[in-house]
Amino acid sequence: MWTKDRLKALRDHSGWPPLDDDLSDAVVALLNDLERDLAAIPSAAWAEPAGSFLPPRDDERASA
Amino acid sequence: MSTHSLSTLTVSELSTLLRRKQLTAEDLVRSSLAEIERHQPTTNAFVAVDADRALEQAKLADQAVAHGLSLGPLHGIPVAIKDNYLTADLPTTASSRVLKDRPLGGEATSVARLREAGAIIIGKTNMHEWAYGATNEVSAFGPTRNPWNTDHITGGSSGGSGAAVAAGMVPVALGSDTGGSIRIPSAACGITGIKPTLGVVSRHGVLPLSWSFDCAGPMGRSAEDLALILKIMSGPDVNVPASARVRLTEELLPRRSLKGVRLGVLQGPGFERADDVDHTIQNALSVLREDGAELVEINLPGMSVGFGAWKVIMHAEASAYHRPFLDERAGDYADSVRIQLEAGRCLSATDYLAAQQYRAVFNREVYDLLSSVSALVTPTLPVTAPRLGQSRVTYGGREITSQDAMTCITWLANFTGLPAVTVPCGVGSNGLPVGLALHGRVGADYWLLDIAARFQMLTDWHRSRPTLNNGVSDRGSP
Repeated sequence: MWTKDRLKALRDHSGWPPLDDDLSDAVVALLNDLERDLAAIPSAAWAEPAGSFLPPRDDERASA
Repeated sequence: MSTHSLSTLTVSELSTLLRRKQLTAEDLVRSSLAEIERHQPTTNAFVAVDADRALEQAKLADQAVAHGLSLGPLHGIPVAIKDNYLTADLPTTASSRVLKDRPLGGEATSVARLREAGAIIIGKTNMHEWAYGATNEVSAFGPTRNPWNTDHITGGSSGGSGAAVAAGMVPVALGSDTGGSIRIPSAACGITGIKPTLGVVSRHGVLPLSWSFDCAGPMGRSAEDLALILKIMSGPDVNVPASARVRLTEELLPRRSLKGVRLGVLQGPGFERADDVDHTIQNALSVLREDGAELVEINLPGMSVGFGAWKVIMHAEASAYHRPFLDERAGDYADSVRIQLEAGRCLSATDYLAAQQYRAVFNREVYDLLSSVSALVTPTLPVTAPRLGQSRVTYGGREITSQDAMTCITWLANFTGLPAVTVPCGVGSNGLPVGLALHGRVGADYWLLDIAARFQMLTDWHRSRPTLNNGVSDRGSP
């Protein structure tokens, strides 16, 4: 769960300049959305090599 | 020939007139410039136009015809370029204040290839700032407006290119596509667009948003035109090693029917759409079926999870690219873009890799589906173009942001790397265009365009044009 305090701590640690309140609220909200997206990834995927993001050619699929 | 009639012709038709000396490149460029002057105030499609240079090049093109010189396939054709492609003779800003006073040198490989083919680069088109959004409302040059109804968005991020083609200012324009940015404005503006197979078209000189998704491609008036442009844009580029890995399987072959073509119509969660869009899509599917295509309904689980993983990857990659700009010029970004970049830089390496891991799992499912059908069919967008300033849309019992409504189907082709084409297939209850999307196998880009071209032989939606009248939207009849 992201909070403004957690965001501020990370930004301070990283040496990034402070954000104003409105921007901080919006960034925290988006980070929590992304965290929900990550939490939805099924556990089976955690054993999967990330591999290449290029789609396989037909000959590669055929030999797989 | 009148300016208006030239603004409705395809590249193939214009090229024929030029080669037969029934039209000069100068007249064609003057016609294009006149249409830009007429429609720019209402659409805001362009961020830069170089009329003098375009006319100078047109005169040279006409001299080449007069002297019987060998002509390229785009000889004398005016083309518009999205503002994230580097162009040697026009500024590139990604429609952002961050780059407004930072001239970038060089030229994108695709632009250079179009010039070699004889195209005349007439100007740069407006875009969602840094391509980081799908509405085209956020730009240092102001929002673009949909030529079918200027109270509505064009979609983005290649919205200026979509508006420029739809309004008849140019016959073809280049866009880029990370989550739908070619197909979204193409569908919303009633034109044809293709996101090629990842790696088929060089991205050298195209400012990135998210490099494991980004594709460059054309937007135009017909599938036949897109095949012509794709042939010029595609091919290995020494600057991009991945571009040599994927080859296109075949070229456009005119079809007599769709007999023997098996299409998977994607159903279920993730493919909900508004009633009027569904009605239009069903009519388009009937056209395909009556021409001999076999249609089978297919479920694709995991759309919601995949959509989320696509967002994680895009945010992480975009923030990595923008890190130096964020350190130096954070205040020059629009707030909505900066929020995404600031969030993306907080993601961890393991977050990013987890999303890429799921991508591998999900994509295997999709590639398996494509072993049983020739292509996957969906609406390009679940709704017609929202109004400018409309932050949320409601359809199919759900309410989501306009941004998510634009990308909730199109992300699929970027996540998988597969080619996807959108063709206009009708209008919604508000008179705005609806697009039909076809997703094909790796390298089957021409095959998809072949199916799209057949659809356009059977229908005339791609010939429909909006009627713009200086700020008063007066939609033309389909």
